[in-house]
This record gives sequence, structure tokens and C-alpha cells, in this order.
Amino acid sequence: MSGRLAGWRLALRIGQREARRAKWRSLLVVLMIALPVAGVTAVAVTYQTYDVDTVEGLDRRLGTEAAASIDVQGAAAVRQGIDPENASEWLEESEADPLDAAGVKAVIGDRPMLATGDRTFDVRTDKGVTWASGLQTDLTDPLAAGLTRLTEGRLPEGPDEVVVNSNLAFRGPGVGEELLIPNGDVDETRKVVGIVESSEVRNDPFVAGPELPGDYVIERSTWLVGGGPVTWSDIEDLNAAGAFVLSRSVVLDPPAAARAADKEIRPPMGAPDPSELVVLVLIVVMVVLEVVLLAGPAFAVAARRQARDLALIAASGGTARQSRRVLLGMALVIGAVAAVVGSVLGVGLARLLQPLAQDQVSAWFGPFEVPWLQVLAVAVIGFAAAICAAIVPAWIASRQNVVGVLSGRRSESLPSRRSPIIGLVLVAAGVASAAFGTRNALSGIPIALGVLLCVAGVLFILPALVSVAARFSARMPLVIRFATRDADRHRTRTVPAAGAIAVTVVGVVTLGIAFSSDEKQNQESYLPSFAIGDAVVHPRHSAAESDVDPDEARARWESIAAQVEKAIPGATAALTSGATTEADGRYVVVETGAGGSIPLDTTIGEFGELVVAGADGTLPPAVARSLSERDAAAAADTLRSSGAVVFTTDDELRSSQQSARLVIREFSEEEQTDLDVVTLDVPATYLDVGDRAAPAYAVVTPAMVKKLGVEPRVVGLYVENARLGVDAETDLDEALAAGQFPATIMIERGYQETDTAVIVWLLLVTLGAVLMIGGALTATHLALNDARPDLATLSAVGARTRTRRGVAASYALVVTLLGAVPGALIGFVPGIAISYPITTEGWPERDSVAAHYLEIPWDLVGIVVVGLPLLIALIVAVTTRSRLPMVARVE
Amino acid sequence: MSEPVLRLTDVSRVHGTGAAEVHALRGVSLAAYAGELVAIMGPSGSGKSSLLTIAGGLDSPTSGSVTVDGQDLGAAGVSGRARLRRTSVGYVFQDFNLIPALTAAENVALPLELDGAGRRSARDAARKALEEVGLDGFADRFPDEMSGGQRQRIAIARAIVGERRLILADEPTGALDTETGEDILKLIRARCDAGAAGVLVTHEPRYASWADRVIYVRDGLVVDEAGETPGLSLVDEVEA
Amino acid sequence: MSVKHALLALLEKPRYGYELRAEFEQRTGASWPLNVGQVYTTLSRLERDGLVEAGGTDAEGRSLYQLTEAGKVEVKGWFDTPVERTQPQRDELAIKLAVAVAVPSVDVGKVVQQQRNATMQALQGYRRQSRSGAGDDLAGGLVLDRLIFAAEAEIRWLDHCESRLRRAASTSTAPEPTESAEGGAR
Repeated sequence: MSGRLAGWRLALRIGQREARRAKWRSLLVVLMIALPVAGVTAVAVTYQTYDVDTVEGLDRRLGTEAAASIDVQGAAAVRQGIDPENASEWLEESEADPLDAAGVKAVIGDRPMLATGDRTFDVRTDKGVTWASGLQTDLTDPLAAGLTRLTEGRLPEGPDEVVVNSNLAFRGPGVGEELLIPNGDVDETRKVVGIVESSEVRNDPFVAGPELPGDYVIERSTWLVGGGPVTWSDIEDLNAAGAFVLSRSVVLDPPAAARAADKEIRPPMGAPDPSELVVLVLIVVMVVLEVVLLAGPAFAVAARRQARDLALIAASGGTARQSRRVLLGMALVIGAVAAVVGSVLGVGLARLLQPLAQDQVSAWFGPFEVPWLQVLAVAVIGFAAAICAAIVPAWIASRQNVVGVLSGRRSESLPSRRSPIIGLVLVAAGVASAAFGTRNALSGIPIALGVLLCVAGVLFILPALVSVAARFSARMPLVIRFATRDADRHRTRTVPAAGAIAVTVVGVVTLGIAFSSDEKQNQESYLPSFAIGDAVVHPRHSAAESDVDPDEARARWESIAAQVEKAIPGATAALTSGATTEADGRYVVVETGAGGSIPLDTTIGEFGELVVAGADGTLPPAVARSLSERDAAAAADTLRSSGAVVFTTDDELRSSQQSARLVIREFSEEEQTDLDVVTLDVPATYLDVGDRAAPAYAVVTPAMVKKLGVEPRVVGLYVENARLGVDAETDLDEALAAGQFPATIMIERGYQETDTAVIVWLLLVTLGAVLMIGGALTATHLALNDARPDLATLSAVGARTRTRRGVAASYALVVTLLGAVPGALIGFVPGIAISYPITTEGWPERDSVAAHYLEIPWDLVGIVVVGLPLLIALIVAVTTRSRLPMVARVE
Repeated sequence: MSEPVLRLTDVSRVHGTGAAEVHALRGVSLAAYAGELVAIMGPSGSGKSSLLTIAGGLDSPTSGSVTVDGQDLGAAGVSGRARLRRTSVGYVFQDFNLIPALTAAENVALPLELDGAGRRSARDAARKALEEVGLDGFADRFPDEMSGGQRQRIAIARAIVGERRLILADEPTGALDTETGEDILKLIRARCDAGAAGVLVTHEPRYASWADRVIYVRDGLVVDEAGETPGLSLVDEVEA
Repeated sequence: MSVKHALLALLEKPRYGYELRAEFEQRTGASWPLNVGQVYTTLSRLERDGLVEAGGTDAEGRSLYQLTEAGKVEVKGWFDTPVERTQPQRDELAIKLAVAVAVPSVDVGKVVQQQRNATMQALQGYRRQSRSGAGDDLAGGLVLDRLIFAAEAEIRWLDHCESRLRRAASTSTAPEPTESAEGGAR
């Protein structure tokens, strides 16, 4: 035992000295490991801080004074755990009335109570209308203390007074101004008397006051109650009466019964989805692999530098294990330092960046909190990565030829013949696994497995590849030959560096293919709602106008049409009438003449089930624009001859059917079935809309609508040639929303590449570039440092100063190409595989949609395989000192 | 007498400043003529290696001037000195300084390739030079597959490849046994007899005796000279 | 003494006087020139001691000498006995330096330098001889090597003397090594 310890003691001592002697190299490795550790730690700490648990959130929900909040659900008995938000269930309904204040008092005694209510509603801002969350309560009540914090003005005292938060005040109504709340035709007004910060709402508009407009017909009653602690038995009683309770005392010190109930009712922590777990494991493995590979070359160089020490240890009777330990000792020292530095840095970073992170989210952060267990786990993984990075160099160093090293012959053995075969087998297995995964089996696990197998395979093949490259370099210019051969001579240094780049490229190419294929599918399967370049205007609140007189509605729409045409030069806005049923529970159905159903996938839906043609039978533009010229002519003919135009996806109906049945149907409570209220058979022309969206189920004449007993009314505008920029559209939309009769406009622009597409693309390139540049620069730096004697020799035999730059650039080029080319090739495998499950056909199934889309992002691949290596070579060439510092020999 | 291939005039070299100041050379003058081998002897730290690095343009003198083939090294600049090393000066080091990643032929061809010669012509010249040092057949071996003597021969082949006018050898026999060392000196001597000028730094009298003149250096000064042609008085001693 | 024994050894085969001398000089690389008179004196002394005897004449009438049995025993004895090293030869150079150190008016450094130059020139002479082919045959080569090694050893010894002198000078008189270096040089 003591002997074993002694062995480690020597190893640690030598390792520590070596780490200190080669300061820059050690610093490099420490950073390489500490930075990811710090990053992950910072994220973990920030998330933990962001995550607010019941105890932390108590003051936000109850304020500082209230003992509990009671939330009446209805007459039904309920059950809850400690926090009803996390654990609750509804029992069967009872006939009793919901609890009222008196009922509550009957259970918990006579305590001070304050009614509160959460509301959401629109408010007017300087620009238009925005959505705000509201807290309806008497803020002057002592029980409301802590729910808001007054920063300016005073708290509202009367029903017409409110306070707003700074976010809303910034957008419009400030202290002393009027807050306008659109409600039907007229705006409600409140006087803003102060600015508060809400304990819960942060970056969004917030209004608080004693009287706010409601958005529910039936309000749930919620009270904050004061007085002494609300006990668990009180809670059980209130639960039985249909109310949930959040009690401060129970949350802070839950009794056993509460714990038991909590355990029973709280939904079990959903076991993570296996595919999510696989993706998570894949990411962790790839990141650790990347770290190991990035740190590996530094240890390989250390092993070479220490080769003589190790040979001397062997010559003085040390075992291979003892030799290994010397290098592992260094890894232990560096790994430990890196883990500690990374953790401290991560926690510090999270603390430092907390205000910045807080700005990004709308919820308030909780108190600063460090999840020590997670931090420890991350640190341990970082530490393990350092050890892993040192294992291969240590193993090779321990098996070195002692005599060769001591006599100054340094050359690495030929790569094993077996390793490329193992590599090929692994890659083949990976390809097979990925191919299996294309069938969408086992939620993508085979593809993830395929990635790992392929990457492992590449790492096995790389040594042979490096040797082959060295052999092929014989015909290359001197600097490239020099760099390639040197890379081959120091394979333990080259392979992990190239491997790190390969892993990066595999990731980038895989994600790139997956993403591009997805985008391609989105683009090709995009279904325009109506003709591209046209727009639709419809009411902002669908229910708001059903009781308006049709003529008045027409007048309103005409003024809106004028507004739209003014805003969009060259556009023509046509009023479009539809037939909608007014009574609740009624709906319109279109059937074949024989009462059969008519297949149809999608309709625009903006104009109701039936679009009503003009009195003279003219086709509304909403319909005309979405039909071919021939179909449009046929439709117009049909309407003129008092027929209906029915849309379908079934081409056969066009020839087989000459009539249609229009039905107004209603669900009957008594008979528990649909009853036909009105039925109307009409002659009809069927039009096949194919994959496009139909304007409605059918186009009918005003006469038919009358026969159905439905009043045709203008339901919106169809705007032709709505050529308008995105910003102008937003402006117009806000203007329409702010109008007396709020409407909204939607322009069909065809498929738009979303911002995320661009961002993801940039992110991939950036991430790939950063990792590749980092890996290549590290490897090149180490290689150049290693090759100093050779470079001095070059200089001595008369190399130009630029030759040194050339050698450095070649090193970088060789390492990046050795990584990028196989990486890209391998990246195709999981990339293509994953494109299958990603682009499987969605709903609705359509004829024109292919079963699978594959788009190889050649520009991305080109950048990664050609562009970045050249860029990195250029960076290295520019930053390398071209002159060797002449070492002054003082004897 | 014709112009010497190498001429050092009153060359001094100081490393460091202040208390750490070290005078490697204190005003040395010497010349080496075509066809002549000059040996420089002296104990360790006497400045003989500094003299050689300055002669080869690897280091610049603090004062004094160096001309190689009539060209002033100070005026030639960094790139000019590098060009001179590629074309006119051959360097041989004690520890060979071969590039392990290159084959014997590639090592020999290095100065030519660096000078922009075609790969084929450089290789042919390298083969010829290897033949000259008796290593034909070893062209495609890597240095670490060869013995010390063979490696030094490669280094000499590299120093003589092309039409070198000046060969600078810094303890070329230091890592070799007597017999092998004699062989190396024979090669250098042969090159001088063929018309090159040679400067050999050594601390072994037996190798110095291959030279036409032997110059003693001590503490950065030339202190003595023994040779066949003392009448030419090529050595100037300078009082510090 | 060695010349006597060397000539005796060369008489393994009957030779006449002039031939004997030529053989000796060729074998030893002309390093120790002999005159013919010396050869004949030695031969007659050997004949007197009964180690050689006249053995007829050759075709041109020159009288040949050959070994007697006693002579053969003598030759064998010479080869079997190592050269005596117990009594070092009286070395003039060593004596000169030893005395020079003791006499204050003499510049010992200069003595050393002059000697070293002379020895180096001798060494260069040997080297020229070997390069011009004098040492091409084995016997001559070995003799030349012997001289080269001896001269080399002497130069090394002189280097060593110089270092010791300088060290002695620097510890006793001048703490500044550069000054003593110049003192040694002049």
C-alpha cells in the first residue's frame, strides 16, 4: 500500500514540476479544460438562480404579510399537495355553491381577507394596442404589501385609478396620464397614479388597480388572508369545499400529512424521453470528447519532452506503470487545477453576469444559488477529461524504446495495422446503425449511436491517414512535405488535434444537413393560405361584431378598405362577404347532393365556411385569385346560373356530381346528436383545389344564403397586390388594431426563411470556426514549439524568413485538413440519416409533397472543409514570428 | 594574394548588458582564402563558436565587419544573409542538425530547394553530394535510421552541395570516434583542396592538424597562430 | 637498444647492409633516418656478439647477413618483452617548463606557446606525410600514428599547462581573468 502511494508520490512530484516548467503548455491545457467547465457551471448556476421554487417564490405570490392565498375553483372538492401549483387534483362535482368569503371565514375563522384577481386585457400604447397582465386588488390594503413595489407616484385609491409598471409606462401611459383600455366600441379609462414593479411580472406590461376589466365571464374568487398560520387541516377543509390554498406556514414547515399528500398527488417527475436522453448523452459525450481531443496534443508533447526522463526511469528499473504514472501525475495536477479554476470561474461568471441574464427573461430571478452537486459533477467530468487526454500519450510513452530514446533516436512506431481496420469496422457499424435509424426506429437512438461509432472509427483511422498523407507529401513543396512528415512523426500529437477538428466538423456537417433538409422541406411543402402577394384583413376580435348591423358593418369595412388602399399603393381591397351562423352551436356543412362528405384539407378560413358571391354572380377576388383562369371562368358561370361552387380535393367529384347540399346543423343537448336545421340542395360545380388551400367550403349566391336563413355579411377584405414591407405591414397592422373597429392584416409572402434559419446557420459556422481555429492554433503552436531545433536548422542552411511562416501555415493546413476532410465525409452519414425522420411527411398528406427531403448545404461544407483550413493557415502565417530569436549562448 | 573568401575585421560580440554583459569576441580579425582550411582552437567559452555563427551570418557582430565572397554581411540584411547561407556558405554542426522529417537526400537538397531549385535538379545534386561523401544508396533513408558518422556525412553533403565557397564546421567530430572523425575531416579537407575555403572549430589538436593554419582563441581574442604560411601574417592580434 | 633489435628482426630473411637500411626506413615511415655507416657498424657489432653471420653473396656480389640461432633467440626475446616504461625518459620539455616556473624572469606562457606552435607544426608535418601517402602501408601508418598521437598528447599537455598556469596566476595575482589572459598571451 505504502509502496503504491510512494509510486504516486514520485509521479505527482515529477508531474507537478513538469507542469510548472512548461508554463505555457500547462496554461493551455488548464484553459482548454477550465473554460468548458466554467461555461457549463455558469449555465447551471444561472439556471438554478432563475428557477424559483415554492419557498423562494412565496413572497412573490403572497406578498410579505398574507398568511395564505385561497383560490376557489368551484363547487367541486379538490385535493392538493404543499403547493397547489405543483400538486393538485379535482374530485367529483358537488351541487353546492362555490365558496364565498363567508364560507372561507367559516373554515379558517374571522381573519382579514383581501380579494385579488389576475386579469389580462389590451391597453393602448403610443403605437397602438398591447396586451397587459393586470392585478385587480386593493393595493393599499396591508395584506397586499410586497405584491408590488412603488417607485413613483402613489397607490390607486379609487376604482378609476391604477398603477402601471415601468415597462408599460415607457411604452405610453405615464403618471398623471390616462390609461385607455379598449373594450368594444368605447375605451375604458383609468388614471395612472403611480409606477410600481410587480413581484411577478418583469419585462411585460403590467397594470394594477382595484377595478380592472375582466376577461372571464365567471370570475374565480381569490383571496389573500391575514392572521395566524393557515394549518394543514384548514387546507384540507378548504379543499373539501373546492378551494386551493397556498399557506406560508405549510410551505415553510410542511407537516407529515402535507408531505404525504404532496408525494401522492404531485405528478411523478416524468422520466425523460429516451430520445431526449440519448441526445443529451450524445452532446455530453461529444463535448467531453472534444475537450479530451483538444487537450490531448499538449499531453502528447509533454510525453515527448519527458521521453528522456521516462527512459531514465525505465533504465533505473522503473516499470512501465511507473513511467505511465509520471505523465498521469501531470494530468492529475493539471486536471485538478483546471477543475477548480473552471468551477470558481463559472460560479464567479454566473454571479457577474446575473444582471445581464436577468435582462433577457421576463420572470424575476430567485436568490443567487449554486447547485453544488452539479458543479461538483461538472468539475469531476473536467478532471476526468484531463486524465483521459493523458492516457494514450502516457500509455505510448510507457512502451517506448528505452535504448532508442537514450541514444537520441526519436521516431514513433508505425501505426498499428489493426487500428484502421478497427476504424473501418466501427464506421461501417456506424453507417449501418444510422441507416437503421432512417426508418425512424427507436426514436433516433440508432442514429445517435451511429454518430458515436463513426467518430470513434475516424479516431482509429486517423493515424493511418496521417501516415498515408506523409507518404503522399513526397511530391509536395518543401514546407508542406516538412509539415506533413513532422505531423506523421508526432502522431500522438497530430491525431487528437485532427480528431478534435474532425469531431467539430462531424457535428457541424450533421447539423447542417439536418437543418438544410428541414428548411428545404419547409420551403417546398409550404402551403400559401392564398395567392402570394395578396393580403387578407379580418376583425381583430372575431366575436365582437356579430351583433352589428350588416349595413353598418359594410360601412366600417369600406372605411377600412380605404385605409388599406391608402397605405398600400397599387393595392385593391375588396369587401368579401361570408355566411356565418349566428346562433351558438350551429354550423354550416356542405355535402354532396346525396349527402356524402366532400374531402377537403384546408381552407383559408378567414371568410367563414361559405363565401358569398356578388349579387350579379361575380366571383369574389378571394376566390378568383386562388383559382386557375379556366376554373374561375367555370365558377363564374355556375354562380351566374344560380349554382354553387364547391371545393374539394377529390377530382372525381367534378365529373360525378352536379349538385350539392348545404346544411345548417345544430347539436341537440336533448338528443345528444346533430340535427339538420335547414337543408338546401343546389346545383353545383365541383372544383379540385389539389394541394392548395380552398377559399372556403363553397361559394354560394346571396339568394342561397337567404334560403338558408343566414344573413350574408362582410367578414373581411381581400387585398390584391399588397406589396408592402414587413415593417410597414407591422405599422399598418397596429394602425388597423388601433382603429375604432379593430382589424388585423395578414400578407401572404410565400415561404419566408425564418430568422432562426439564418441564426442557426451563422451559429454553426461560428461554432465550427471557433473550435477549429482553437484546435488548429493549439496544435500548430505545439508543433512549432516542438520543431524549434528543426526550424533553427532551416534558418542555418539559409531558409528565407518567410519559409518559417510557410512551415507554420502548412502545419495548420495539414492538421485542419486531416480533421476536416474525414470529418465532413463522416458527417454525411448521420446527417443524411437524420434527414429521414426529420422530414417525414406531416399532416395533411399531400400529393405534391415528397416523402423525404435531403439538402446538402454545400456552401457550409465548403466553408468548413476548404475555407476554414485556408483561413486558419492564413491566420497562422500572419501571426507567426518569422524570425527565430537567436539564443545567446553563454558558456 | 587574391581577396579572401571570408574576412572578419575587428569583430566584437557582446551578449547582454550591464552586469550580465558577456564579451564573446573582443576584436577578432581573420581571413580564410580559397583552397585553405583554417582551424580555430581554444577552450570552452573562448568564443570560437561565436566566431563561427557570426561568420555564417547566423548572428551579427556588435561591432566590426564580416565579408563573405566580397559581400558585406551587415549590409546584406537578414534576407541577404539567408541567401548567402543557401548559396555560398555550408554549415556543419556538432550534433548534425539534420531535419528528422526529411530523408537524407531531402536534407542535402534543402538549401537548393530553399533557393527555389526544381525538385528534380535539387535531388540530382543531392545524390551527387551524397556520392561524394560515400553515402550513395542511402538517399531515401531517414536520419534516425543511420549512425552518427553517416549522419555527419549527410550534414557535410548538405554543406557542400551546390558550389559552396565557404565551409564552416563547428566541432563536426565532437560526437564521433577518432576513426570516423578522421573520415569527416578528410571530406572537409578534400573540399578545401578543390577550392573552397574552410573554417573548422575544434578543441582537438589531431583534427586541427588537418588545417593549413591553426588559430588559438582565448577569452574572445586570437592569441596565437601556428601554420605553414606565417609570413602572410593573416592574423592580427588586437590589444584590448 | 631498439635500432639493434630492429635490424636484427629485419634479418629474418638474409639481406645485405644497404637493403637492410632501406627496409628499416620504409617500415618506419622514414621517421628515424639511418646512415649506411651506422648500419654497418651495428652489423659488425652483432656479428661480433655472434647474433648474425655473413651468409654468402647475392647475384651482384654483395655480401649477405643472416641470423644465427642465438640471434633468433634474441629477436624472440625482444618481441616478448614490453618496452620498458618504469624509468621515464629524461624529458627536456618537462624539465624546461619546471625550471621556467621557478625562474621569475621567464614568461612561462610564452615558452608554452612557442612549444605548442612547434609541436603543432610538427603535427601538421606528420599529417602532410600521411596525406601524401607516406602512411599508406600498414607499418608506416602505425609509426606515423604513433607520432601523431604523441604530438597530440604533447599539445594537450601544453594546453593543460597553460590552463593551470592561468589559474595559478589568477588566484595568486590578478582577480580579473581577462588581464591574466593577456598576460598569458604576450
